[in-house]
Order: sequence, then C-alpha cells, then structure tokens
Amino acid sequence: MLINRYLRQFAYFCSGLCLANMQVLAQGNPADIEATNELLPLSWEELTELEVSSLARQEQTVKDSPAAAFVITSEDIRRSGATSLPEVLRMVPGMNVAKINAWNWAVSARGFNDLYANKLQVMIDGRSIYDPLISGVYWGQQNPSLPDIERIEVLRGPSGSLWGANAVNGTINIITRSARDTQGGLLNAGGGTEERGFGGIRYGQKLSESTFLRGTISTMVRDASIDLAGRQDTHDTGDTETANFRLDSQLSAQDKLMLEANVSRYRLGGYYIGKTSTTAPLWQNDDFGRDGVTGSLQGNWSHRTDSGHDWRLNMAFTQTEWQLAVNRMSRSHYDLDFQHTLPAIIDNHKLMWGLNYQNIADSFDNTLTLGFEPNQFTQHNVGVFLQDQIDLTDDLKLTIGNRVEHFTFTGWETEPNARLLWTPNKQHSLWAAVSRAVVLPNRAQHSIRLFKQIPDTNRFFEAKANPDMLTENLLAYELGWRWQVSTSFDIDSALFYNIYDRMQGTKFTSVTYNNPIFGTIKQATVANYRQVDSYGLELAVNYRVNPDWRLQASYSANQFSVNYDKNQPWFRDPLTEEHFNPQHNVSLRSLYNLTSEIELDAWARYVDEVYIDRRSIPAYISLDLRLGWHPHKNLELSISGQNLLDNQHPEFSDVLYIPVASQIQRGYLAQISWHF
Amino acid sequence: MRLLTLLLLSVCVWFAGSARAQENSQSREFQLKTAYLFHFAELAQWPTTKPVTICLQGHSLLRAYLPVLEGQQINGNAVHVNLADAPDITQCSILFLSDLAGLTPVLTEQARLHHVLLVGDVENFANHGGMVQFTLRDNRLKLVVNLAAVKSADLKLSSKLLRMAEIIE
Repeated sequence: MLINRYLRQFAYFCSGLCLANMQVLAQGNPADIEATNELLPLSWEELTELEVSSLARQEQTVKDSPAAAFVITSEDIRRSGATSLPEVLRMVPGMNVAKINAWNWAVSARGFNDLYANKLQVMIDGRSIYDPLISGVYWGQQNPSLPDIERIEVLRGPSGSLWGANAVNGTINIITRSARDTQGGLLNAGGGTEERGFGGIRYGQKLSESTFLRGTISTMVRDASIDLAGRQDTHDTGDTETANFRLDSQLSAQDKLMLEANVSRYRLGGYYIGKTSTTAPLWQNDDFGRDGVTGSLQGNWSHRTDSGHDWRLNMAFTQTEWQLAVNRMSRSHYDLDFQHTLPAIIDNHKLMWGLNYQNIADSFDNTLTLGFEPNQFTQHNVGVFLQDQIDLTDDLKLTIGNRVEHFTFTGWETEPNARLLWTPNKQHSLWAAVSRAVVLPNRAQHSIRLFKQIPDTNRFFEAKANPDMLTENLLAYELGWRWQVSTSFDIDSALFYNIYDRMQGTKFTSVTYNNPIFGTIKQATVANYRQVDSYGLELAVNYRVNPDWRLQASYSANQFSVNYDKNQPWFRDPLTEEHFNPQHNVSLRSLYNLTSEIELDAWARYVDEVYIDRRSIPAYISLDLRLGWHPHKNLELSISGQNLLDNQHPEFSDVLYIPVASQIQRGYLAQISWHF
Repeated sequence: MRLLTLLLLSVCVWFAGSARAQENSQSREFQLKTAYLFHFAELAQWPTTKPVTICLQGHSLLRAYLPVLEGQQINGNAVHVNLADAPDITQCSILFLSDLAGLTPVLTEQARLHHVLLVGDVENFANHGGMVQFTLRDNRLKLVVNLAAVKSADLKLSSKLLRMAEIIE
C-alpha cells in the first residue's frame, strides 16, 4: 500500500519534470527563433527540399566550411534550362567552362582550362568519373539524367587530403537523389534546334518499408555545328543512351545501403583525328567519330554505432570501352574506400580517417597514328588519410589533415592542409587555408605515341611519352569571407594565391629531316618544365528580392605568371599558358515567378578573351532565357532560348585537333516533364 | 526505500533527458512547419482579401515559433498570429489544430462558412475533414490536401503548393 502511494507520488513528480521540460521547449530559445527567421526568406521550392534531420557528418553546411564552396540545387538545374552537366557548372564563381563542340568541353577551376584539364576531381555519388588516361573528364561520355540529380557540391581549391590526387584546383561532387525520394514515375522529353532531342523515363518502386528502387533510362541526340572559320560543318552530331538503377535501403537503425548500376553508350561525331599510313596517302583526314560503352557498379554501406562512430565503405567498379579509328581501349577501374568518423572522444576534437585502394588495368589496340606503350598496364594506388577538427574556442575552429598515397607511377606523395575558420558572429565568417596538392601524371603522359600530320603542311609531328614524368605540385594559400548582410542578402568571397611547381610543358626535342617515307618529322616530349604562380578573386552574391524573385551573381578574376625559358622550342601548351584563361568571368541569374504557375528565368554571362593555338577567341556575352509553365500539378512545360545574342560564337579550341572545335550556335528548346 | 527512490529518480531524469535529446530534430520540424504556414498565407487564396491571421488551437510545439511570423509582410500585407487558447474562429484565416479531437463537425462547418484553412499534423487529419495535413515522409515534410474540403470553404490553393502535395478527393 505504502509502496503504491509512494510510486504514485513519484509518477506525479516525474511527469512534472517532463512537463517542465516541455515548458522550456514551448518558450523557444533565441537560437531556435533565429533559425526559424532564417527559413522565412527561402522560396517555396527551396523550403520543400529541406530535410527535417540529417546525419552529423552531413550537417556541415557551406556556411560552416572553411573552403571556397558552392552548391547547385536541383531547382537551380531545373531553372537553368541546361541539358548537360558542364552547362550547369557555369554558374559557379571561379569555374572555367568552355564548350569545344557538341560533346567536348573544357572544364576547370581557377584557370588551366583545356579539353585535357587535369586538376579537377569529379565524382558521382562518390565514384570518381575522371579518366586516368588524361586525368580529366570526358564530359560527352558522362550523361546522367539531370532530373535525378539532387545537388552538385563544388569546392574550389585543393582538397587532396580528403579526396586524393587530382583534387588540386577543385572537387565536384554530383549527388543523385535517393531512390526513396524518387518514387512513382517521371517522364521528361524535349527537343530543339541544337539539342535535337532528349528524353528519359524514371520509375521508382517501394520494395519494403525500408527499401526503395528506381530505374532511369535516358537518351540524347545533338546537332552538328560549324567550324571556327564559319565555313565547314563539323559533323559533331551524335547520340547517347544511359540506363541507371539505384537501390536505397535502411537495413537497420544503424545501417544504410546504397547500390547503383549505370550503363552508358555513346556514338559521338566530330573527331577529325585522321589516319597516318606508311603507304599513300600518308595522311587521311576524316571524321571517324568515337564510340563507346561505360558500365559501372557501386555499393555504399554506412554504419553508425550507438556510441557515435560512423563507418562508411564504398566500392566502385567501372568498365570503359571505346574505339576511335586509330585506337581501341578497354579498361577496368576498381575503387575501394573506407572512412571512419569518431565521436568526440577527446574534448573539442573530431577525428576522421580513411583508407583507399585503386586498381586500374587497361589495354589498347595500338596503331601507327596513336599508341600507348606498353599497350597493357596496371596501376595500384593506395592511400591513407587523417583529419582532425579542433574547436580552439567557441568561434575558432582549426582543421588539419593529411593524406599519404603511394602511386605506381611516382611512388610516395603527401597532401597536407590546415584550415582555420573564425565565426565572430552570425553575420560574418572568415577562413584561411594553406594546402599542398599533387597532380598525378596520367597514363597518356607516361606512354603516349601520337604520330600525325601537322595541319596544313606536309610535315609530321610525333608526340613522345615521358615515363619519368613526376607529379605537378601545388602550394595554395586561400582566404575567404562570408557575409550574411541580411536574411535576404549574402556575399561569399575568396582570394587565392597558388604556387605550382614542376608543371608539365611540351617542347620540340628533335627533328628528323630525311625519313624515307614521311620526310620531315618534328618530335615533342612532355616533362615537368615550368613554374607557374596564379592568383585570383571569386565573388558570389545572392539576393532574394522577395519570395518570388531571386538574383544570383558571380564574378571571378585571375592572373598568371609563368616562369620558363622562352627561348626553348616550346610546343603550344594549353596547360600552362596564361592566355588560355579568361581574366574575367561574370554570371548573372534571375529566377522569377511571374505567377505561381509561370516562371521566367534569365541568365547572362560574360567571358573574357582567350588565345588558343595563336588564335584569338574574342570575349563574348551570352544570354539564356527560359519560360516555364505548370498547367497541372504533375506537368511542367518550358521553352528556352540559349546563346540568344548572336548566331554563333566560338568558346574554345583544341590544339591537338582530335575533337574538332566548333562554334556555339543559338538554340531554341522546348521541354516537357510529367510526374505520374 | 532510498535505493528505490534513487533508481526511480535516475529513470525519471533519464526519461526527461531523452526528451531533450529529441528536442533538436523536433524543434527543426516545427521551425519548418512555421515557415510552411508563412508560405500558406501566400499560396492560399481567400474569397475576400484581408490581412492573414494564423491561429493555433491545442498544445503544439508550434506555439514557440509562431510569434516569429507576427508582423512579417507577405505581398505588402502583414501576417498576424493569434495564440489565444480558444481562438475566435471567425477571426482566423488559417487555424492550426494540434489534435483530431479539436476537429469537430461544428468546427469544420464554421471553417467552411468563414473560409478558414484548417491545418494539422496528426495522422488522418485530412481524411477527417481537415484541409491541409503535414506528414513526415523520408525525412521531409509532405502535405496531404483534402481538396473537396478546401473547395467547399471557397478557398483556392496555388498549384505550386498542390504540385508537391498528395491529394485526396
């Protein structure tokens, strides 16, 4: 009896304590009120994309990160009217994006732009898509369905300690939507004058309460353009077909599994590579095109223990097959990544470490024109990294990290960095960073043999590999400042000073005059010849005029000083010539909801003059407009005009003339997207 | 007895503590709901234009955040918040109900006559005559809209809102 009464009293006391707790909640603390205030300026579309709770590791927003970061949302992609990944990247300050022809792009960050730009790490859901043959991305072979992308996170500057070699001038993380978020059907299709036709169908199915599957198939056909002289058709038409499957499963309260499979096939025109032959005609110039298939399988398993440890295991296998008229490649690429984030065991320290292993085995069918020696080769690369984030005081955070890697090509390398973030108040945050990063020499530099006619002459050119090629090293100093002027206005700025050592350069090493078949042959070889310093500024401004109107502007400027012996017989080398990069880039976007059903979007860009292959590519201003209409809740119709200000203009060129450069023409496009 | 007291006390404190641990994600959820309600003031259309008043009936964590909306401008008109325990429904443009018990036939009839948008976050709210129901799906807030109830109150919801909602007719 006594016990009974005692228990009852206790229950009252206990519920009183809980109620008191509720009361505290009901009043709302100032930080929560502030957080609510920050949500109000968001547009409806942005608000509905927000997650209610997220894992600790992902909670670090751009605002908190001590690096030059930019996020492209699915809403940004949809309203850009873009049909390919590189187009979307044009909105990022500090990114250099130039279209070479319908399928080939030069994409880089902070300069050194080229078709073979080698300082950018690019990943889709954590799987690297940069090609170890050229240390760059063949953008025409990467055609994920844009409606499947949730966001693209872009980091400018080195992040080698987290992402490894080649994360030198920037890292791009393309994150696709979870199968959980893509249930039901989506049909999208479109066509126009340049983008001849594209479309895709996606369907997502719930397999159980915690397991979801979706599949997407998509295709694309592009029109050819005209050459830089404005005379000849460049035959850069082509088509791609892609199928993608993704499964997401919450195995248990602690375990998450993601499996993804992708197959992509492409037939791309506009490769005037030509053929060299020992019998007449010695050189045959023709459009042979490039065909290929890329397939990948990927699995990501994450586990969180009750004590707060995060384990993540990522495996990816990619098989790439392509053929040109002058070579054929077959390559298997296997990646294994493990990452462990520790709970705050020691006060103020957040530790993270990881291991990775990479195996790349390729084989080539060499010809006289293009070969890779040896024609079969396997690389084994291993790495380990450690990062510690230390809270020095309440508003000062220090992040130090290092990665040590061993490469088949160059042996041991190290990529340390230190970053300091100071957040004196809610309006301002300042950061500073010092980092080292390395560019791994690629398979082409190590083993290429290119033998072709020098255009418009009867002499020949032979590019020889350099098996002793070393890494290019970068020492980077960065400063950043983010200023939240008001809830509707913010400015993000970054300054960088980069010192590159052992940059690649190509020079003519010898000339053979009396070859019995080919006559004069000029030989060129690549090596680590040059030092380059670069510095620049990047600005991004966001202004929400009202809930229906958003403006976004970005500006970047950069300068180079190249140190090399100008008297040497240099081959025009795009990777280090300062004038290959526009000094100024401006992008202005306006996203306006005319009514709740109709959207009017405009995007203007200015890109400064560049010189490529001794030819000036003038500065240009381009304008895209898009009108979107939602006549029904599941239906979206849009028309857009791209590059509206002129009939055509060149954006870039390619020194090796393998993909032929074309001018970018004005295009009109209509799109439909239907959820069912 | 002392041992039992200690034991019970520790259970009790642990319980209160775990309630607090949920606070973070819960408070985020209600911050988002507050921002949604703010947008409803713009995305819903009433037969007559007057300043939008958001009312709350019942015990909800929303009470802590709704005052943030007081005086905020939407299309040049200020939004008002009425946190009275038993709000006069004729003065409300949007009424948030914290439970199903509040959703009586009398109240739904009043809401219909006075063009009040009924919003709730309990399960089956929309099925039982409510108009817009918050539901947590895949870690995001989703809306379930009872379009018949919305229409019968002479209210119109923007297609922007309906685009992301699940609609029950």
